Amino acid sequence: MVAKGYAQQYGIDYNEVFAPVARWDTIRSILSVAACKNWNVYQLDVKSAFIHGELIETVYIEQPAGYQREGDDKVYKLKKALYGLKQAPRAWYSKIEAYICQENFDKCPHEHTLFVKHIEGKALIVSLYVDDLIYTGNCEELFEEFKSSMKKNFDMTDMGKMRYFLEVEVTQNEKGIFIHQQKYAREILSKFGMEDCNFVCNPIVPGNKLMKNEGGKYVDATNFKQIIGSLMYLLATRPDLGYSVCLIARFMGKTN
Amino acid sequence: MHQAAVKCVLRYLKDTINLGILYEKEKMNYRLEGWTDSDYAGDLDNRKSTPGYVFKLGTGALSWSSKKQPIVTLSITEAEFVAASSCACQAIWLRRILQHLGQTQEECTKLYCDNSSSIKLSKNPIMHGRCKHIDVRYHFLRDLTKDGVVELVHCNTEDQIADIFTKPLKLDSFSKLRARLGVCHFDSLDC
Repeated sequence: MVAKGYAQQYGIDYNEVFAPVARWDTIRSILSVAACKNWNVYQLDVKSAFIHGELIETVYIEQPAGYQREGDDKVYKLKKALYGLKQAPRAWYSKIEAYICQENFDKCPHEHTLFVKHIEGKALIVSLYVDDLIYTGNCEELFEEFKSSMKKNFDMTDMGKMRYFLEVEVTQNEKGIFIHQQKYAREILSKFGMEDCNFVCNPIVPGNKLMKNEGGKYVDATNFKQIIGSLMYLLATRPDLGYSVCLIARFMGKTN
Repeated sequence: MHQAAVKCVLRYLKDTINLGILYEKEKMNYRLEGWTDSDYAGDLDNRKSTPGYVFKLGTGALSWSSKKQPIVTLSITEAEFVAASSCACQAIWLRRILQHLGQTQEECTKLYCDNSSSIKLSKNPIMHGRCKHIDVRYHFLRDLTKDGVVELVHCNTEDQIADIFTKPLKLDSFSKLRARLGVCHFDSLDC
């Protein structure tokens, strides 16, 4: 069931909607620290996360089709958030943040989705990305404690070792932690019909300077923007593409 | 023209589909290091520069950026200096994050830069006619250097990893720098 969030009005049905998510810099920092210290990184997934969020605003919904009480033109008042509501992500974040803080984690003031717990040399690090969370540390007991308390309060799936997180594939073995996006890259290539193309070894021709070309013929900007957007996400594990993709992205408005 | 550039990237992606970053289990090197570099007036339309930086902890790159500078600079030194100060901002943030992760950086973070006048400028209060307008950044970076948070260190151009974020490189230097970012093939993992 999804609420008609588009019918909500600012100031009446919702106020602030911002909800922080982890930055890739932070996630990579965690992975790199974990690799240095020879820790494993694990992953948990919250099932239907948004319905746990508690609403501050008063929101009413119509009776859902198929579940009307007959002859009743009444509406429901929501106690908790529903998918589709504009404030649902924020309500969920407040809920989980309050919960984690109550578990005696320290919230990092410089990154609102990073929580750590240090007890006498034992460490537990948790990072949150909406309904996915990763954790690492050096103490099995703390892991179990954290996992069981999370399971008690939210509906959790234990994903075990971090393997697939936000389209990024993670391999952890004796050598270290390897992150890549092979699957996602293959999807991009096939989506834009390039799976059988010839390949080149350099993402950009040396000395190639792009500039606005006012006189040129304009091409399908939507397609161009889609490709750029897809490639942008690839930068999570591909610093080698950083320059070329960011350079092309500057010309999104005026392609030819 | 732009379409061709996009296709070039996709073709490159096709060749390198199984690349990723490897964070190796490390010996003792837990130190955060940064590289900062900038081209000069690379954008032919408005003559803005493209600075880039990259940070590494151990073998793998963990934070990087390649972004057109919002201002027009008057000299290479100024462009590099502005780049270094934005790199320093990121360094501060990363140091705080690492501190929270239990990986406190006791020593100052080394930022490698291949422009010696920028380094001198960050250490020495020389006010020069050609750099007096960099005032605010100049004091910011100088304070950080004085407090021992960051330090600009000179490195040779061929060791400048951040070069890869500032301009199109020739294939051999591109591959060399790519490997130094910790980017490698999936297959190199099992052995």
